[in-house]
Amino acid sequence: MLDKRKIRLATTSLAGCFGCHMSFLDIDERLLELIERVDFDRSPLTDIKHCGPCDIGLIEGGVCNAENVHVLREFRRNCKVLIALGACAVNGGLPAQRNHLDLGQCLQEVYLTGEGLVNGQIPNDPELPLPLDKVHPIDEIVRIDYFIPGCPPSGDAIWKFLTDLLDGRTPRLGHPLLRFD
Amino acid sequence: MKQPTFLLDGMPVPFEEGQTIMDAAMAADAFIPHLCHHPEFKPQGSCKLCTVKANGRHVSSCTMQARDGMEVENNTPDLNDKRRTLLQMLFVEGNHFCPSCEKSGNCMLQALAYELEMLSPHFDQFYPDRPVDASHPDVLLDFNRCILCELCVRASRDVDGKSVFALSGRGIGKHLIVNAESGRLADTDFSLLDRAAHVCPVGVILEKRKGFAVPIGQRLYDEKPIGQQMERLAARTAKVEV
Amino acid sequence: MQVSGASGVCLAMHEFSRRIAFEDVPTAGAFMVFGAHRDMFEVARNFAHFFAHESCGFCTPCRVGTSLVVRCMDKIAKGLGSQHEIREIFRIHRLLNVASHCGLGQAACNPVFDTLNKFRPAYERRLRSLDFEPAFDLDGALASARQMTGRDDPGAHFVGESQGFGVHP
Repeated sequence: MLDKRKIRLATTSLAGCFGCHMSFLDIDERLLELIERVDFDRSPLTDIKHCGPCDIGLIEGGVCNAENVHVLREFRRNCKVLIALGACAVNGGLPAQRNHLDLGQCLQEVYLTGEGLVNGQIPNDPELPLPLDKVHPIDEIVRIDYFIPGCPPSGDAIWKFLTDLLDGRTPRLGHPLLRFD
Repeated sequence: MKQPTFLLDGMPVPFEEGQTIMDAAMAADAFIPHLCHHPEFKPQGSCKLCTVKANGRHVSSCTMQARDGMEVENNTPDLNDKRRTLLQMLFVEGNHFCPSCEKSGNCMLQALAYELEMLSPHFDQFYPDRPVDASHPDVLLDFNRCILCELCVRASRDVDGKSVFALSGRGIGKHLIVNAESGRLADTDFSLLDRAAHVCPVGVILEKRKGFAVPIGQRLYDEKPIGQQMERLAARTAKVEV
Repeated sequence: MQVSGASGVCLAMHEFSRRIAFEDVPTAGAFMVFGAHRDMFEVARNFAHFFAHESCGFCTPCRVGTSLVVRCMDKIAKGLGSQHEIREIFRIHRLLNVASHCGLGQAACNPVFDTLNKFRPAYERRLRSLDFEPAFDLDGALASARQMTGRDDPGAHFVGESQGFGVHP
């Protein structure tokens, strides 16, 4: 007999646009079915700030700054299964398009030397997370168990993946759910 | 005399003497994944996606001639796993950011990744620095997406007689170059009418002012996965692709 | 002992009774003898760099695969390796061995594969974790931002934090 205990699920967005979370909401009325089987831990849906022990973690976005690293590690420590959700988490996506630029030069141009700037200053408040010199997919920082590509993955793709997982099937996305755009 | 045949995953495939495994399979509507192969051009066998096991040996099906009675394994978990790894290598070697690519939905690399259920690039990204060449009035070159299949090289040299493109460098530094002293496409006699302007299987050679012309949902690989488009793949010629 | 150049067979001490013959250990006539004091991981890493440099870049597996092996070996050398890299090397070896266009790619992983099988502790003692570590120094990746902002507060560093999963309290 399978354990009928409710599954704990956490979600977060790192260097992403929250589009994957919007797409997650696109499962629409199936959310009701989902909360029959799942309790949400840390997630924008609950506003819980730190992740406790969980069964599944969904990570949207890549890793572009120090805070992203801390949050990602918190999820890895607490989630038995960690899933990369969407193009940015899978391969860096849009934020990684800055990777061929030098970070120092970028900061300088944006905050100091850009046209029309007077008395510019690079923000240095300790509250702000420092940017990494490159943006990384999350599987370059911690071990990741599953990947759901797409920009964003459709609600149907997310639903198929999660229900496969909850029902004990190895998740599969065939045509037309598997998409990179 | 009886026509010679070989077995492709147990299915008899007839062939003409001198025909490759790939050509015979295409004629028989059987799909063997491939990227650098194109029916109009001389096979080259560099992408290795079409690797099959013929009589127990791994070979490139686009360059290996079929032999009577040959037993060829193609659609097996082991070979598809190797092909998936090759795709992952190609994905991390370049900068393949599908969401912003005009070729998305019409791209063979992407279509094969769907076909072989590649969910992530797996390896750490190389993020190479490859500036685009927008110098030509009609054509944009985005080298970030180049998979070094040499189809444009072959088309420009063998069909157009211009040799506009070439590969340069070695190892992981190998890259596509333009045959002009400046290295710019604008300084060649390249034209939109060239065969080479229409053979790129990915999004390197793009016609300007024509991006995203087909809506999502109606693109080449939106409707049917590449593995079910054998007829179209076998019929690729200048007439269809321009 | 490495028989017949970088792509040949690496023999450990317990194999010294094997025969040089087409049927057993084939050779083109070359030998390299490494004393017991030598670090066989570094020997293999050197060979890995050699093959990545020699790859002509024609076929996908050799062009990319030899560079991926180099990255695995350099990551282990930097003390950032894990069992993940060992598994990766075996996976890349299996592919290059059968899918490369020519003998260079087919044999490119031989020295790494042989030394992993016969001198595995030379690899294992360098690993940082059993699970996974980033290939780069995270704190170093903040250096540019630290310099530009002039910050040096604790939040501007990854210090005092053990890396990766499984080693946290």
